[in-house]
Amino acid sequence: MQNPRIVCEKNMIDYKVKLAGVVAEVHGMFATTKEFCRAYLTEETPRFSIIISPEDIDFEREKSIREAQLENLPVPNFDDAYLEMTAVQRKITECLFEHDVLLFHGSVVAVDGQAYLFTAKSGTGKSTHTRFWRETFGDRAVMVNDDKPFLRLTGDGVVACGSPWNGKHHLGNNLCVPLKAICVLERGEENQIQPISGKNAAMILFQQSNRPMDPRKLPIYMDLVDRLSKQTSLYRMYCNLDPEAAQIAFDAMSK
Amino acid sequence: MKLKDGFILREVAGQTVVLPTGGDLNLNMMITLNETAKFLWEKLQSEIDEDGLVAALIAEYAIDEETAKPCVASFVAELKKHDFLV
Repeated sequence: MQNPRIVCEKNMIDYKVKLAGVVAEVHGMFATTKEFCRAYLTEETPRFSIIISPEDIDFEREKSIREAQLENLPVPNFDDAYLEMTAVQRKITECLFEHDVLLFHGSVVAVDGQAYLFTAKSGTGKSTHTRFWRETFGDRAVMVNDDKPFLRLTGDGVVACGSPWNGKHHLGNNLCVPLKAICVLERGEENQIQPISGKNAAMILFQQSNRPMDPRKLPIYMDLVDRLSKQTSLYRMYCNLDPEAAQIAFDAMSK
Repeated sequence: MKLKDGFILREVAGQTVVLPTGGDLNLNMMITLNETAKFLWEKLQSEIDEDGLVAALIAEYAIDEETAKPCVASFVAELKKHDFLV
C-alpha cells in the first residue's frame, strides 16, 4: 500500500511584509497586491499569517457598497484585485492590535527626525497642510504617510510608521519616526493652534483609528487609544489655506 | 428593563467611553458617559426598573426624589431613543 498523499493546488501568492516593525506573512490571490506592498516586502520571520479568501473579497465589496449607501454616494464597482488591497489592510491591522499597533487616518510628515500627524474629516485639507510643510521645510521634511500611517505604542512613546496605503497622491516612505504630536485640523479664517486635552481629542482619536472587527479585541483597542491620548502631545489647529500655516504649526508643536 | 448585550465600557483619555461590540454599521459609534450616567449604566447591566434606578441614585448621591426622578427619566428616554434597552 502506498502512503496516502494529498495534493492541494491553491495558486496563492505568498510574501512577507514588515509593517510598523512587525512581520506578517500574506497568502493572497493577486500579484498586484504584492506589487502594491513592494516597499514593505521582507524575508524576515513572520509573527503571524493572513490568508485572503474569495469570502474576504466579497466582504470588502459588501462593505464598500454599504458604506456608499450610508453616505448616499453612487454604488462603487471595485474589482477583486482592488478589494484585496483593502482586505489585506483590514486583516493585517486586525492582527497588529496585539502588537500595540493602530492604523490611523491622517497625514504624517517628519521634520528634523520627529513626526507630526494631522488628522481631520476628509476634505479639511490634511494633505494640503502637509504639502505646505514640504514647501516650507524643503529637505528637512519627509513624508511618512499621507493617508493611513501605522502608530506603534512603545514604552518610550509613540512611533509613526509608513504603510502601503498612502493616499491618492501616493506620498509616503517605509520609515518609522518618533511621533512628536497629533494635531486635529479644522478650517478657520485665521491660522491658530492650541494644545487640547486627551478628553477633548478622544472622540476624534476613536473616529480616525481603525476598530477591530473582532469584539474580543475592543478592550485592547480602547487601551491603545487611551495610551495614545496620554503619550502624545495633542493640538487643535484652525487653519486657512495660506502656506504660512505650516510654520505656525511647527513653531507651536516642535517646542 | 436592562441594557442590551454588546457594549464595552472603558476609561479612555480621562473619560468613560462605551463602544458597541456588534454590527459594523455601528462601527463609528462612540458613547461617552459622565459619572452619573456611568453609575446608571452599570445598574442597567442587570434587570432594574425606573423606581429602582431612582432609589439607587438617591442612595449613592444623597439627593431627594424630586431631583432624582427627572434625571433617571431623561437618561432612560435617551437610552430608549437609541434602542439600547431590552
